[in-house]
Amino acid sequence: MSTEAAILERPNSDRQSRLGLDRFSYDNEIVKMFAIATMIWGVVGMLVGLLVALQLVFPALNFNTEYTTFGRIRPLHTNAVIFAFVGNGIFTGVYYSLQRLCKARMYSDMLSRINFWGWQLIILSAAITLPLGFTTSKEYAELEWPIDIAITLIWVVFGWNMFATIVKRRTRHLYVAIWFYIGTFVTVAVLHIVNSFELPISFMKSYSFYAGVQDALVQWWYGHNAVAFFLTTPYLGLMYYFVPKAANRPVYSYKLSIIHFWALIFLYIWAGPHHLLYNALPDWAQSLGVVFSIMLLAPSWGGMLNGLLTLRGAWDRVREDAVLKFMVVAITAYGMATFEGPMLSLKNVNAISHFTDWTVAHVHIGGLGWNGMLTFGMLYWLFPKIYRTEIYSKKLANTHFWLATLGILFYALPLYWAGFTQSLMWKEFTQEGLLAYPNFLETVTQLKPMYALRAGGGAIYIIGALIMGYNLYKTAKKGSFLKNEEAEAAPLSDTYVKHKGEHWHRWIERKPVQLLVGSLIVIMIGGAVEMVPTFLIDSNIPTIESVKPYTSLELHGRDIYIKEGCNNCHSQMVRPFRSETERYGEYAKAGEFVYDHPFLWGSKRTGPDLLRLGGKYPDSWHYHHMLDPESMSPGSIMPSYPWLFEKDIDVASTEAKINVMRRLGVPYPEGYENQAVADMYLQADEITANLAKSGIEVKNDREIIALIAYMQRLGTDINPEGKVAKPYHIEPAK
Amino acid sequence: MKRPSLKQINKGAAFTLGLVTLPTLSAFAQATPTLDYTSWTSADLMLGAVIFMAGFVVLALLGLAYALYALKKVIDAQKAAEMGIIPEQVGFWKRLEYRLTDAVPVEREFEVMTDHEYDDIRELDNSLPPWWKAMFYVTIVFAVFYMANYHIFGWGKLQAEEYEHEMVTAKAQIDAYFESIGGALNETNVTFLSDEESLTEGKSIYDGNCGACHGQELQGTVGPNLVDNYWIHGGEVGDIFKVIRDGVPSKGMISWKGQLSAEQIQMVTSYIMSKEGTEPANAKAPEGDEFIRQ
Repeated sequence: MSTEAAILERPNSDRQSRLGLDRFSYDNEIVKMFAIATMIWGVVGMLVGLLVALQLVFPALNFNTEYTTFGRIRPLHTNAVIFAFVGNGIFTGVYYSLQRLCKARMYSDMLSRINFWGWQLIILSAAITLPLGFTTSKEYAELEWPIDIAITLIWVVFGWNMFATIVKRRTRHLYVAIWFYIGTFVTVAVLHIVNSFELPISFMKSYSFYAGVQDALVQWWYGHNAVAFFLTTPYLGLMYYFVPKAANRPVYSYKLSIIHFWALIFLYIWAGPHHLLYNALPDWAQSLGVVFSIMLLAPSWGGMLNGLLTLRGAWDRVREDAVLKFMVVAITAYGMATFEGPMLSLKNVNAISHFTDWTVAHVHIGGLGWNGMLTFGMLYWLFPKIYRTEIYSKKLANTHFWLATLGILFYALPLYWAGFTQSLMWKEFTQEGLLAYPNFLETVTQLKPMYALRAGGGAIYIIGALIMGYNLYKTAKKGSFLKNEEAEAAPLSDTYVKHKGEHWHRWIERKPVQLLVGSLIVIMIGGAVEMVPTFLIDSNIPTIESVKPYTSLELHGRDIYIKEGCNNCHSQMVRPFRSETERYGEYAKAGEFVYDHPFLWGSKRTGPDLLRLGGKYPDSWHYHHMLDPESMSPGSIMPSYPWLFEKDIDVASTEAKINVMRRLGVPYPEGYENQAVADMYLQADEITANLAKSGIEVKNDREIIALIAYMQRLGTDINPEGKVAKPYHIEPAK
Repeated sequence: MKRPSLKQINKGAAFTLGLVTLPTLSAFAQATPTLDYTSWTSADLMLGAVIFMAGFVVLALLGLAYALYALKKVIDAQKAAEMGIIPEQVGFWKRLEYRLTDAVPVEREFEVMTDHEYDDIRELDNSLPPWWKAMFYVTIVFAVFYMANYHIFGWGKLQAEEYEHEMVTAKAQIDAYFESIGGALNETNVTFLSDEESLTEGKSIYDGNCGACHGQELQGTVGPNLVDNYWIHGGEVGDIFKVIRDGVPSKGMISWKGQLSAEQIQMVTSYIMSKEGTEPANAKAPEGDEFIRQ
């Protein structure tokens, strides 16, 4: 405990000690810091989102620099809104509510500050490294290993501070909001650590510990539960505190809280494979993903019901009070998104929605609706409280509410339309059995008007957020900030006598450690059942003899593919549908990906699938296409990559790459690492010679050569029509 | 509140019974398909069946719940009458709301108020909404059915099998189509089209698909020159048709059969042949053998 906190905690005055009351104060300063960070990062993250949305309509907005292309900026948007906006939102709400629910100041002001500044530094490092191209490629876990370690440390600081506060609480039982905070803390820790297993090859580059199917399973177990335990459970905790507070109504049902909390955290963790339906994942794992997603509907709606029904008897005020309005829309959006989620997890619906903008629309109902609106509601309630004043302008708050609500609609509806349109175009055949829209680009240009409308919706939403910033700034200006809020409460006695007829669940509400361990066990079950067999039982990933490791040149090319974030727009996963095998070629087999550290299946097709790209076009096609996509595909919205023609392949890292891959189980022969660079130039020379035939002069050490080598290798290991995979161009010394 | 009569209890019970017996009976009935089922995969049918079953289970549960509810009301009303309590009048919507949520009305919520208090937040202990509970049970039943269907009984097709089925069905449809129009165009029967309309269409196909590699003037860039009289794979109309259709993967020429129909390939072939002998700027050097068109 810091000295300041110790002084503030000191029970003083005779009166209080006679009454047996402790006098202490709540730390509002930390709440204010997080609240301001939430607003700033919220606007920044949304503006970056607007930029990437506009890039799809006006490719010139990629600005022709490597730091601002869609592939590098899109992860910046997702990371900013998830970890910076919502992350700071979580801390704001937790630091405010936890103190009051525990009747105790945060355990340590020092830890609170480390939590704050550490988190902001992590965000800053993300904002710097992502545009620079340092990425693991795993969605919402793009940050490289040193930042992963920092996240772990700061998360532990947060958990330590929270848990120590809970331990020294002055209320006997833990309120449902705190169950959710504890569940969030343990689960996010487990998810982050397991998914971030990676072997570094250098300061800002690593390879995922897992490969192919296993990597995909771990990643989407993480990815799905990042939504569940970062965007959902902590916000449910905030809902349980701020909604009854703002409405001044009792929580609707304690029973419902119990059942939906445990059911939600138990079921959520299983649902990850629904991100990989019809992918090269074993059928049984996919089916588990389906059924657990369906079973999630009721527990999710349990949260919605408890939120909305808490407003019984306060609906007349919802009409007046902007805070309640934001909360109602947030909870409703939560209900819509958690209904849509299970539906999208049905394989026949997913067959239509996956890889399209439908998914993007879906997550934004959750992001803009649930997280955004609840954050706004919370901030509008909090600011007047900590600044001891009224809100500066109710009218502006109402204006913000309507802008945000309309913004969501204008954002989501065009994207639903776009997703549906594109999917139907992909799947349509003529009577002769040909694809009705064989040129993928046709299905993209069709969507431009919808993309433009979506950007408009997003812009409206951002304007609302800016108005909030102004309104809250003015509120702060006119009020006076209460840094330490005085409070008093009786300390807990050492003994507790259960009273008659007490609900059985009250027991665990008195036992934070048991609650933490209990939730840990509950969330470990699903993950273990799905992952362990996939790692241990060979039949889940049938071996394919012809699948060989990447050559050193291809490996460099693959790392460039990752660095440029190609996987943000291109999948490498041909699903077993006629419409896909006709368009792309043989569907993906689990055994093809055994050397893919990390997997690069992708989750969205803004451009076509690339799994069977190898041998499809000549080297010169790729050369021209990467330099100016429109020269080969008129109307393409893909950015140009001129810097790949200037930069040299990083041969200094070749040896390390081969060594790390071998340690991860890729069977490079002994001694290959020493010849890898020479081998690389041999293969590069083949490509430059090939290009020379088409009149293209290029040096053999340029990044573009490595990328072409990788693209020409893609999917050819099992494709008899394509090139035959050659793992080495010179036979490694024995 | 209106007292439910014995008649209502019977109605609920009869509804439940009817639902249980109806599908059993219909299973024996001779099916006379009028719909086109050919394009349905068995996964569709299985899903339909599962949804039907789920819907059926919901309805059956609702029927049963209604019967039980009515029964309970009769008993409650009897008890109330014995105790001399006169039931109050409640409107339809309120009744519906209470029935769906099983919630204690706001005015009487002190009855379910717990002694929990956290920073002035109190907690009620209303019952779980019956429809919500039913939904939860239905999803659990669905999950069991689903897993059993695909992984225990093996009735449902897994994805590889589903794909096979889709391909077989599609092939049958395509074959039937070509049979109905008297066979497809191929390299042995394709002819040069000289009409204006075909050549214009051929040009637009060429510009959109071929120009990137062979040059907008057919002068050759990535791919070979198409206006000279040298051909690598033969210059007959059938030869050109075949190269466009099947591609020459070893040389980077892709196959267009998945993207262009035979008629479209015929039109673009004709367009290319119609440009033979033109002299665009920057023409690529001839490749292949000289071909004298007859």
